[in-house]
Amino acid sequence: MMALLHRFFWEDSRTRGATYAFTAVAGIIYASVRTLAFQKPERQVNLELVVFLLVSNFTIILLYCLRGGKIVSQPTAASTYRIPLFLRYVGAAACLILLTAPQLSVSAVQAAIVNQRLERAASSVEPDKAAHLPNNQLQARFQKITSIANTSIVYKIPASPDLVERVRSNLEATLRSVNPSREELHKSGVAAFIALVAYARANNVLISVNVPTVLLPHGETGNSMISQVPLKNHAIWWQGSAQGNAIWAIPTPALGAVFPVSHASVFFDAVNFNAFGLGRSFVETDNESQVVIMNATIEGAAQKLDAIVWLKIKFKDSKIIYSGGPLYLGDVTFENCLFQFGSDADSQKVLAQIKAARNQPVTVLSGVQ
Amino acid sequence: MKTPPKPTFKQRLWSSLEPVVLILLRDIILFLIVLAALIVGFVGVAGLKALGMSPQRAEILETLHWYAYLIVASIFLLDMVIKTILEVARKKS
Repeated sequence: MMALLHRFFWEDSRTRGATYAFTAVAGIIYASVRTLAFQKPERQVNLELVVFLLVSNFTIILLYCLRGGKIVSQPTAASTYRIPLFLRYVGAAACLILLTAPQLSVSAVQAAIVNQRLERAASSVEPDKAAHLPNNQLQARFQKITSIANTSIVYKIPASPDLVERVRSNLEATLRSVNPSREELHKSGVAAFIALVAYARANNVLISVNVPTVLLPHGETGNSMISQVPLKNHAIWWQGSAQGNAIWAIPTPALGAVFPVSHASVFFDAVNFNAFGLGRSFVETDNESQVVIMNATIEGAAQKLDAIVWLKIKFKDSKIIYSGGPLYLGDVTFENCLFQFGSDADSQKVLAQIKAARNQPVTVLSGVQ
Repeated sequence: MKTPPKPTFKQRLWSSLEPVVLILLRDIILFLIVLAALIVGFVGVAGLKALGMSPQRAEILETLHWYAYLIVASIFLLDMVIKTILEVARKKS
């Protein structure tokens, strides 16, 4: 038995390699099925996988030993200690990859890819070219820009601000030339523009040196009661957990907004807000700040809409305030809200669009020069 | 008569380790190759994300990638431990 085991581990490298390859593939299939089909937690599957590898390898080794007498294996003692030439070269290449890996920045690779995509996007919506395109082609290009912006925000991939600005200005010029009566096309153009503005702001946060990211832990309830967090003169990214987080405003209306923002770039992702109808707002910003709020539900607040980019937001039981100014609403739903809008034409037009949507998500761009 | 110079600590350490290291070198190289392939895979997944792969699909790839790491590390470690035990046992018997 001992001799057979020794032969398996020290000499019969072909059988050993085949065994390991087989158990590795079987292990990946097993772990994937357990995780993806049975939704088992990763920690449990890790343990199961190690046990699976132990059991499967030992079973195969046991079978090998039991059939040991019949197996005609060529003793490879001599070759075991000689490394084939190709293995040496591939090994040297592997070492080179491993040594350079710490220097390789994954975000730099991603940024290079996104920059290239943005470059193509910028030329695809050059006003001269875009003016002659049929509707469906132009719409596809708008959707492509939306996809680039959304992907880059989700994966927090930075890009060259100049390139982002170029795409934005080309898109803006193209959008101006699109007849608003081509409703679907106009809507996808507006969605692309809003996504791009959100990405431009996110990018400003991402490229800032030492950007702090506030990762909200879910804890037991996912709720955090906050009085006020002034955000001044810096860039910050507030990130909610995958299970969802909510910020509850301390019910003191005199305090004003929970996040007063001035001269800052701030990004809120998956951070819900609840003010319990006591008149506090989530964010209050000045004209010098860049604020994006996405993937959130805002409840019981009194919220001014202008100058903030709202993406995939649901307002519930809130007072919505708007009286002109830059407005960016991308997939925003208003449910049981009270609207305090100005009497100017822009505000009334936006209000009409929101009311026409009837609790469905709206994408609206207004007040942008 | 001159006595031969006493081997240094490094020389003594290498002479004791050399046979084992040489025997295990092939497995170590194979392990490094698989590890390098996994790192290339990691960069590949990051690239796919930048190219616009959906987060759900990227998550599946990342899960597979993590299990591949775990399997490779487990098998390599297991193999090394058993090899060492067998060699020690054989020398003793």
